[in-house]
Amino acid sequence: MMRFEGVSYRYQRSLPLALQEISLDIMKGGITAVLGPNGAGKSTLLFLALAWLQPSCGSILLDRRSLGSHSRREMGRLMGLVPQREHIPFEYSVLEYVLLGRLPYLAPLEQPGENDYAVSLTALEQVGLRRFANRSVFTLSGGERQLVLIARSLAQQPRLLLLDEPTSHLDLHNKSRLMVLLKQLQAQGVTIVMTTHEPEVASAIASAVVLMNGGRVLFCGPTEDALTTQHLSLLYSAPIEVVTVKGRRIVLW
Amino acid sequence: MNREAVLTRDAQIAAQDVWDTRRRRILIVLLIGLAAMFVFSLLIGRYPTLRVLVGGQIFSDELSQRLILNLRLPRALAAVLLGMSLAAAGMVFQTIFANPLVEPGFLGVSQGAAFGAALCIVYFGSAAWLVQGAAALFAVVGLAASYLLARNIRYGGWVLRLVMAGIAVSALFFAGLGILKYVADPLRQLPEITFWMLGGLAGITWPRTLAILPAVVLGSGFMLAMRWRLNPLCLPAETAFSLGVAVRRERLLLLVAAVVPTAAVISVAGMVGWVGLIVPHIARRVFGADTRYSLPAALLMGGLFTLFCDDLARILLSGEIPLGIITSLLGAIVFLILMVQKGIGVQRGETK
Repeated sequence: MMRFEGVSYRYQRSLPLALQEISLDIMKGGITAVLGPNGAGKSTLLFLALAWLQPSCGSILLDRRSLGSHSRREMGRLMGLVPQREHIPFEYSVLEYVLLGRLPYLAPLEQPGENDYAVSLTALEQVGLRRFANRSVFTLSGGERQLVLIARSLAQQPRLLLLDEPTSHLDLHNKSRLMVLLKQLQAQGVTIVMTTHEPEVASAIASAVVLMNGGRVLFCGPTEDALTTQHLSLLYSAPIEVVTVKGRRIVLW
Repeated sequence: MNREAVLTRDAQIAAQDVWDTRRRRILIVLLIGLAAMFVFSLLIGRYPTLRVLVGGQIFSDELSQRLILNLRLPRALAAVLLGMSLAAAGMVFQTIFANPLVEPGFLGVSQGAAFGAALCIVYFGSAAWLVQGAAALFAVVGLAASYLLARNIRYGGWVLRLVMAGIAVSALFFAGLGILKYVADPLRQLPEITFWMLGGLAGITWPRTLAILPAVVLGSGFMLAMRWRLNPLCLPAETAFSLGVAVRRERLLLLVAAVVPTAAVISVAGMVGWVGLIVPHIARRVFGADTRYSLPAALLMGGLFTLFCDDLARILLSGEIPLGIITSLLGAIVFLILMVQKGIGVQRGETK
C-alpha cells in the first residue's frame, strides 16, 4: 500500500536527521505498529506518511504513485490521522466535530447533508459515543475526546488510518474496545499504522511491527519475530523480558 | 436509564435537525430585527430636536425626505456595512488563530490604517478621500508586511509566526503614529488625528458608502460561502491538512477576504473598537461554535449592534458622540457580563 524508499528527514539544517534512510513497506490490509523510545522518530514517520512533511531525501509511494501526486482532497479520502491529543478551542457539539471528517467528500462551497450526518453518527456508534452526539465536546473526559478524534477519522472512511499513540489516554475498557474496533476495520480492508509505547497492544493486534530508535529502523517484520526479549531490550536499552502467558506476550521490566 | 442513552440514530439526526432549524429561525429573526432597526434608524434623529418622523410628515415635508435620503440612509447603510465587516472579520480571525481574543485589527491592519490616516493629515492635508485612501493603503500594507515577515520567521508554527509578525508590525506603526502625533500641529492636526482614531460616521456621504460597498459585499460574500470550511481552520494545521484542507491557501484566502472589507470600513469610519471582538463571542454563545451558523449570525449581529450604537451616537447628545466611544463602552459592558456568566463557550488551552 505504502512504500518508504531511503527516506531521510531533517527538521532544521542545524539539527541532526530525525529519520535516516528509512525503507519499509506498509502491507495493504495489515495493522502495523511502530514502537520505539521517545524521540525515535515515530511521529515524524506518521507525518511523512500523511505528506504533512516532505522527505529531505528518498521517496514515499502510495498505491505505487508518488505521495505528492495525490490531490489534497483525494488524500483526505484515502487516509485519516488520529493525533495523540488535540486542543479544541471552541465549544463544538460532538456530532459537529465528527462531521468535519466529511470535509474531503464535499465540494469547496458545499454544506454537509443528511448522508454526512448519518456517516458521522455511524462513526460515533463504532467508538461507542453515539449517545454523546449532541453534547458539547468540553464535557467529555480525555479518553472520550480521544475516541471522538478516532470517530472523526472514521467519518473520513479512509483506506489508510494513521494513529499516533491512540491508547495513551484510554482506560482498560476503552482500550480493549479500540483494539476490537481496529481489528474490525482491518477486516473491512482498512490498512492501519499506529505508533505505540505499549508492546502488549502491538502484540495483541498488529500483524507487523516496526522497531525504531534514533531515527533508524532496527527491525521490521512480523509481530512474533519483532517482539522478542532481545529486540525490546536493545530498543529501550533496559532489561526487558518477554514471556508468553495463555498465548499472549507479556513484557516484564 | 439516561434518556440520552436510548436515543436512536434517527432521533439524533432529528435532534440535530431541530437544533439546525432553530438556529435558522433565529437567523431569520435577526434579519427581520436588522431590517426593522434600519427603518427605525432612518426615522429617528434630531430634526431639529430629537423626534421620530412619521408617514405623513415625510411625504409632506421635502426637507425630511432629503434628510432621510441624503444623510440618514447612507449613514445607516454604512453603519450596517461597518458592523457586518468587523464582526465577520472578527469571527474569521478568532477561528483561524484559534483564539477568542483576536480581533480584525490584528496583523497590523488597524495600526497601519491609523498610521496612514495620521501621515496623510500631517503631511498631505485632511481631504477626506485622501485620508481614506491612505488609511486603506496602509491597512493592506500592514497585512502584507505581517504576512511577509511571518514567512521569514524561522521558528514556530504558522499561526505563532503570524501572531508575532502582527505584533511587531503593529508596534512599528504605533511608534510611527506616536512620532506623527508629536510633530503634528497641536491646534489643527492633532485634534483631527484624535477624532479619526475615535471613529465615527458623522462625515459619511453616498459616494463614501458606495465606495466601500463592493469590498464589503465581495469579502463578506466569500466568507459566507466558506462558512463551513472555516471550522477546520481552528484545528491544529496538521489535523486540518489530514482532513483534505489546503490549510495555508484557505487560511490566506479567508484572511484576505476578512481584511479587505475591514480596511475599507476603517478608511471611512476610523477606528471603531470592540465590534470585531465582542460580537463573535455573542454569536458563538447563541449559535454554538459551528461557523455555518455563528458566522452569518455574527454578520447580522454586527450590523445590528453598530447601527444601534450609531443611533445612540447621533441622538444621545445634541452634538455627535464618536461612534468608537459608544461601541467600546457597550462592548466592554457586554464583555464583562459574558465573562462573569457561566459557560463562556471558549476554553483556554495550549498554543499551537
